[in-house]
Amino acid sequence: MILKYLFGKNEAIPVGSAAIFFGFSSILWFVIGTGLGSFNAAKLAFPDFVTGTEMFAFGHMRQVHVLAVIFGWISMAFAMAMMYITPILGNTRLWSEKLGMWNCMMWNICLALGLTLMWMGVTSGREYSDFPWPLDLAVAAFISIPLAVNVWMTIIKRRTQGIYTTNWFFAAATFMLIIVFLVGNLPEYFHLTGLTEAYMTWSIVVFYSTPAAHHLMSAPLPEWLKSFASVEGVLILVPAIAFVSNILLTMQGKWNMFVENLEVRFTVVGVLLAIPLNMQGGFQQTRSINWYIHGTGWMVAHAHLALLGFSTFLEAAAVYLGLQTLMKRKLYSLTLGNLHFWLLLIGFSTYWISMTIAGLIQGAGKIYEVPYIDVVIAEHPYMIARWLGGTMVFSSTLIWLYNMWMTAREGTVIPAGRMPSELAYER
Amino acid sequence: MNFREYKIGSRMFGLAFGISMSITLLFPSFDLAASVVSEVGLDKQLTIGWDSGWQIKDPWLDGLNKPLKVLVRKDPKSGEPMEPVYAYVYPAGTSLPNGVTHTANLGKGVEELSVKEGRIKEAKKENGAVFLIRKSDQLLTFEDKPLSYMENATATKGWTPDEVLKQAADSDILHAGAGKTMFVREGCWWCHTLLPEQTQDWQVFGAPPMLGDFNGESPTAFGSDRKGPDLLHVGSRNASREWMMLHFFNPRLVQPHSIMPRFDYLWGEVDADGKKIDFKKWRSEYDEYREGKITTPPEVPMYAKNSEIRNLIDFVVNLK
Repeated sequence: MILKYLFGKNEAIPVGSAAIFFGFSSILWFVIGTGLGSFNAAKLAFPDFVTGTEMFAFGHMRQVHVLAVIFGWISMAFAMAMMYITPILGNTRLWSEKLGMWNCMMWNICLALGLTLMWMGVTSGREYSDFPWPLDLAVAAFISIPLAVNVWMTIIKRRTQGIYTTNWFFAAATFMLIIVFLVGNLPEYFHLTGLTEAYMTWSIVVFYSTPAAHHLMSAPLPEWLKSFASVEGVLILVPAIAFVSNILLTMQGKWNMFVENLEVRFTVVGVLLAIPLNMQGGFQQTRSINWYIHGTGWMVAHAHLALLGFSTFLEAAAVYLGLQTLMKRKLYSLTLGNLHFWLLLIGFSTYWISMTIAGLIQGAGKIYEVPYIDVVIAEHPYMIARWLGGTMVFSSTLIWLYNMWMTAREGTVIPAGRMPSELAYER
Repeated sequence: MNFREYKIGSRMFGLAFGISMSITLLFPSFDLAASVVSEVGLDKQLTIGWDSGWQIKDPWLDGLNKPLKVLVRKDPKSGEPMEPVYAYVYPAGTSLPNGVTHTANLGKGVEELSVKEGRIKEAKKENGAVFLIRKSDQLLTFEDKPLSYMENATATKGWTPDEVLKQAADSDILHAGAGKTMFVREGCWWCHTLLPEQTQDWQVFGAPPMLGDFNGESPTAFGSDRKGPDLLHVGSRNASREWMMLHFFNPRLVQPHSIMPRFDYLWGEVDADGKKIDFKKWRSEYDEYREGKITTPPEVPMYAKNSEIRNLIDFVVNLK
């Protein structure tokens, strides 16, 4: 069926096909990514777990986990949300379902190829831009540019007078993704070296520009740049607080939905997790705090709070709602949905809390310069907790995949003109 | 398509975007481009060569296309004993380091000296070259330290790669360039930083790197997260190859609480005597040792001269 749509006429492709393709791809990558995460965590808790082969060495698998969740889950779920939300808010159809289908297929192919190579150790050696540069160019050509074209054209061809806020964000995000990705990988195309390379990679490819140097607070970069980046980093709080307040105030008078509606529950939890995320993010990069926690597990916890807490909960809500609406099928099982929610939340919290504590221990060990092995010993219980939390998250994604698959096959058909929330759950 | 109502917004966006790109890309690039390479930086780029990540000449990161760092004890021309000096040998066909191909990278002063006195522009990739690091009488103005520069010994002294390699014992040859490739491929930098921090770390991990230490290095791979100790000066703390060998084969042999993975697979098929290594037997005997059935762990096989672990150990002990 996918082949038929890839080579068929654009008009012959049912509305929402691209979004559904993206939605299921993202869930599948989420399963793969969290599975790898759980496996890696087991290795940190028990170093002799699956040992002695190159393919299952920690150093070969760690970045595969990171990029599978970033490029596979987080980005593809965003793309799914864009394919679904952009046309609805513009009161129109997606500009090209066919481009969307091709986009999704090339995305899967590029990512599978890149991750396989990286698993074998074929890496550029630059964190977050680990793919070799020919693959980076393929990612730009087949992933980020077609996505931007589709989203922008849909917005331009809209049938509403204004552009809704969400679509402003989507348009800006797809534009910035291209800039960020191409500029962040400049060192590879042009063989830039030394600190220039480190700075470009860390500052640009990691999503933002002005506060970016705060990743390199302890590297010998110009001091003015660090100070500037630090101030900008605190200023991130302005849009962040505006976003959180806006969503939470929207909930005024409708808090019953937080209990009754699975998608709203996911959304609001994601927004609530944005509060500690931004409070950490705004202040941990100032020099007075950064010297303590730089390079420790605190950072690992913070990164997971951003991607596994904030982003994952929001995007899971979008994928839940989008897939039900577009497939015109009610969610197969609320019970499994609830199980997914709680396993994800408890698993994530376990992970986040244990890694934060481990990071504080590491920070203390760092500034008092205790022998490193004592830090490793002190961290051990938290490494086990991290593995348990990560495994819970992995289990939750398996449940989710099953639930969405069954929704596609056996969910109650939603009558035309009705929303999924208007139907009662059956299981 | 009607953009009339978004005129102010798009202008403001353009302004913000332009300012942010100037501050984050343009201005720092002036600062970074003005950095003068230090002696550490020269040693690093000559030891490591062109690139340690993926490159067309080494697509599977096997450590190809890399120079050798050789301790020269006898003059390669006359064979007379001389004050030992490190030479960086680029066999014919090896890509030359960044500072030779893009001399502007060396920074003001060092560039002129390297080109004029060191004659580095005469180095040809097809014929190979031997480089040395020389100290000049000029001072680095802000540090009051003598400037160091690159010398192409093939042009100035007539040393060819073959001659230099011929007079050197195998123990005087460091495969540290190929070792950096191993360091990148095996992901050592996911857990070990090469960046002691400016605010602490001085007593245990040593001095943090300076601005000029990174010129020409690619990738820097200084890491972002520590799950193990910093390694920038590890060779000064522990230069024992035997300890490194045991530790890489199975870290728990020398540090029972270590969470580092075993890197025994870097030994390859055979040991130093060309005998096949029986990993299965080793692991089962080690398990017996762990369970207390035997009192000593099994012997760790000596690695072969051309094994990947030799490259990695050379790189690590060379981190002074």
